[in-house]
Amino acid sequence: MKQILVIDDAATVRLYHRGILESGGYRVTEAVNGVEGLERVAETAFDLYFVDVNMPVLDGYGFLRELRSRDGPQPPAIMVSTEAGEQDRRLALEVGASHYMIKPVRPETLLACARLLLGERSTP
Amino acid sequence: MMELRKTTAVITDLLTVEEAETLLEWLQKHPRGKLDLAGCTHLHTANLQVLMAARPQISAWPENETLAAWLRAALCSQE
Amino acid sequence: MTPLLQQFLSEARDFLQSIGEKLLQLEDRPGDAELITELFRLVHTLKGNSGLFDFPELSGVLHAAEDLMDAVRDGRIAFARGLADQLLETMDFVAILIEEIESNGVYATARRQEAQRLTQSLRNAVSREETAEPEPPAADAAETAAPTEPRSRALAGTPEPERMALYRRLAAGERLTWAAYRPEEECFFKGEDPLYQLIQAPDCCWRAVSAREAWPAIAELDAYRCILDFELITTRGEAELLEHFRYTQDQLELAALRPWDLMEPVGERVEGPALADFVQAARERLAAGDREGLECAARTLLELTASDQRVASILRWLLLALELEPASVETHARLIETLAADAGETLASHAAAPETGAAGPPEDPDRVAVQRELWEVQREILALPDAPDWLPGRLRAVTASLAGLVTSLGREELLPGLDAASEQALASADAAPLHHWMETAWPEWGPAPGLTSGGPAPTALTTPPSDDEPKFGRRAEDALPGPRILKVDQGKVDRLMGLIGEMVVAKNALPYLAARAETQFGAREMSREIKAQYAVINRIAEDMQDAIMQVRMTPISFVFQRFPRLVRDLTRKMGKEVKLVMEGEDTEADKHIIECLTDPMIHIVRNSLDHGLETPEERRGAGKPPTGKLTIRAVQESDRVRIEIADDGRGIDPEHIRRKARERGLIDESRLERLSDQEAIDLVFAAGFSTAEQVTDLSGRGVGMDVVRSAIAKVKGTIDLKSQPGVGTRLRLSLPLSMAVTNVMIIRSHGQQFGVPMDDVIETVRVDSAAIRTIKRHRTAVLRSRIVPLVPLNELLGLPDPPRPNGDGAYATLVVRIGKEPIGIMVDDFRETVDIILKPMAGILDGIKGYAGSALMGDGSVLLVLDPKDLLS
Repeated sequence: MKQILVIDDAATVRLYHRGILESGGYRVTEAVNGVEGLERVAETAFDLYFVDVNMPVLDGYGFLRELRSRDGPQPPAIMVSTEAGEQDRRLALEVGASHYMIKPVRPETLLACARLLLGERSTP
Repeated sequence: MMELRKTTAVITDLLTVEEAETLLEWLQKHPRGKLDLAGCTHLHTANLQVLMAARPQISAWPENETLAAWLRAALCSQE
Repeated sequence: MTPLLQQFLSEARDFLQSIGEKLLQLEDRPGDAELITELFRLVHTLKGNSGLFDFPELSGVLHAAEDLMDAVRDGRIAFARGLADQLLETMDFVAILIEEIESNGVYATARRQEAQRLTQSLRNAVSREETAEPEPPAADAAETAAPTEPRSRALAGTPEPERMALYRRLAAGERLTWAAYRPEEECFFKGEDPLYQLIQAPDCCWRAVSAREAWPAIAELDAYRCILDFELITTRGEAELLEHFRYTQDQLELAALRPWDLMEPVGERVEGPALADFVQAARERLAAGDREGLECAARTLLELTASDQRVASILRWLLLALELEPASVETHARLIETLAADAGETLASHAAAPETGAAGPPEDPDRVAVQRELWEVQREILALPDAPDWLPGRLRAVTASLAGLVTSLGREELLPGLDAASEQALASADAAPLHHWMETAWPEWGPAPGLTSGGPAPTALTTPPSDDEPKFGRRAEDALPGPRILKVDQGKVDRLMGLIGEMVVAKNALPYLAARAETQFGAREMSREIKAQYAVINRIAEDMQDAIMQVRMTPISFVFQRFPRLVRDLTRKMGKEVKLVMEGEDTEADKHIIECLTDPMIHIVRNSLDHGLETPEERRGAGKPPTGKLTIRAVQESDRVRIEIADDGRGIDPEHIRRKARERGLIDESRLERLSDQEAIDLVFAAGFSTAEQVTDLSGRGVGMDVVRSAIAKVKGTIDLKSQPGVGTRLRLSLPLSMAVTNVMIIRSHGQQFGVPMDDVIETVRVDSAAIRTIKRHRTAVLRSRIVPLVPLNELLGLPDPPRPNGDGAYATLVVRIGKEPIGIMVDDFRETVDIILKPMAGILDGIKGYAGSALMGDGSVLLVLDPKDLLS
């Protein structure tokens, strides 16, 4: 089963993502900020990340930069933000996001994104 | 004024707020009942609400153009 | 209610709490940048969460609050008291919405107007406070140019020709106003006839009527609850409409009609291969100002497209816009970008179709759009000009994304090429090899210059990305992860506690069983084993009780948290200055006790602010600093919580109390004379006493300190008041930490068993009949060198028998403390003490004096538990 890490300080958003991704057959782990995210990364090899931008302690940018600075495999990471500005988006891509999506993300889109980046064909 | 016949309710002049209840009861008992509004000069919003919920066939629209326009907007939309 | 909504509501409450706290802190430290950032983040996240649900008013208000905080954060406006008031009001309103959603699933429709008013006033605050900005930055312009939500669903649902006719009028320079009138549900009872109002409205050129909720079955319709919304478009201006609807202005929404409000494409989404080419060409022509070329291309494509398709609808609007408003490039660009969004889907599915094979399931339209988008984003990442330290990581991530995409399209044969390109790129620390691979491996998705699919801005208007230095979050080492908290529904904890309570009672049956085993069946060995088992179960049950009590423990901050706001609001209203000091917020007690504490404490604090603390002038006159001080402190003392509420106000004058008591006839003249000052002050707790000179709207609500005391007594708490005139007043509450299980002593009297709560019992003694003296027909005994009055329980219960002494002629006596004096209650015999779950008296027994409640015993019998205080009062 593919493992996905969802990092967001808002429990509601985590629950939302978890619900959608679990319905798609993925195993979901949650973290409430970048630091906890890095802790989870040290424990488990994830196949995909969903990362919030604005978080206390360590934000999404900091998390991604730290993640991408490491050696070894680099699974795709989707940054999920409420900021629609071009600058925010560009910054996300610079620090290593594989995609930038605006909240709230429609469930179909979220799941389609995961399936595609994880190399799965259409839902049977 | 409301004259309730077997298949058609004929509305003339003004349909008051109190009459909405009567209209509703008639439409509940006559699900296929039609409405003749030709002589209607105004109907209170409560009646409009009853008509929107029941959606009866309108056999004649009011002669008053503005009233007819509002009723058509309420009752002929593609919902 | 879905778990997601539940989660949202519970989290929203936490957010509101934190936002309130931060706002108050910000008043003390108006320039604190970290606080402002944190506040912004909280509002921002709450708004983001609300977007997951269809609560437009909730999101709208929060969005406006967020914008205001954003302006504060950027230093565009200064944080002032007025802003705090406004934000606090907004959060109160949001809290109301949250509560209503919690109980009804929705909030009342009447909230819409309030939401609109708040949103507007927040927006005004931003624009009013902001120093005159120059031109808004280009990026903002692009954002506002992005397709916005149509203002009205009814308008979008109106037939296209009708909307086009309205557009023609707009384009011809006519000013049209759109209005929505949402009458209140109970408007019919107020004699209103919305339809009549609307018919009288001047110069309507479009109208719609819709229901706010789904129509019920006709049999269930409530004809007199108005659920209709009305909309209209008129040539009259907003001022005239406001005048027309002057009695129901608050139910009216007005806006100038914009062309974009009308241009909602209709029709079926169908694949059209030529669309992408058209979009490409249209963008170029628009950028080049070639309107004729654009019109010609649009006309050609329209001829090729069935008229009932969505694309045809967009093209008709584009042609009309080109004809009527040739200069309005913004409108043209919007329409082309709407087409581009459609094209993204059709194009991608076109490309994917041959690969996935005809037999496969139909492609999810989202999937193909996302495919194309992801592909484009990877290209964009590769094109980034910077070369940071983490470039290898970034390249690997792109490789992983591309590999996923290729695999998901069933083109695994491309993977070796991708891997090779990736290695080359990593070796040279350059994205070019991967970029090259993308061009050659998938020529069908050739470069689409400028197509940035993530941002909302139409390409033609996109500003070049800025070269700002990226800003990074704080370092990982700076912080510690927060505690792990599991939120559990209160009902579940209550159920668990109930079960544990039953368990505690059920285990009490084992000693009876042991006794029966021995006496009835002569099985002494068995009896011993049962007793041994009982000891084990008893220990576990006690641990369980202890554990559930820990779960129920709630920090007293639950009560304290409302005081900063309360004190702030009240003192401002009364023109006083008070500094609130709170200590020991972390002190914990049982949830029930904490909850019971809220109202009495609010009352005490109000009293203190209202009567205790003086105005700054009075204080100066009395030689005190102008700012008063109110201290609220909680500490745990063994198994009790002590709370102190102290002010440095004018204190209570015992003479004043004596006078009042005399006026009210609360106490007879002779006793009044003998009262000490402290005893006089304690009279404020007497029923019917209120020290308020004048009834103010703050504390004079007919509730006196007697109510406070009885509320505290209900949870077995005590209250004590000390005051010094001119110096201040101190109230001290003492409460038990928990209360779910009551330890009672079983006593016998008149051949019956009763329970007496151990909390009330000071000691049990056997009083020799010789030691009992009768003074003025009252029996007394000297215990611990104090004269203690003795009362037989039978007498208190109205039973005729005298108390029975034991074989040695001694009376079993429970010494209880009533007020400050000990009293001895004579009973026939003491038995063991047991833990019981006390149930209040119900039914006909409710209200019988002297009983605290009843409890089920282990042997199935019912034990009546006495309330000595009540018995003796």
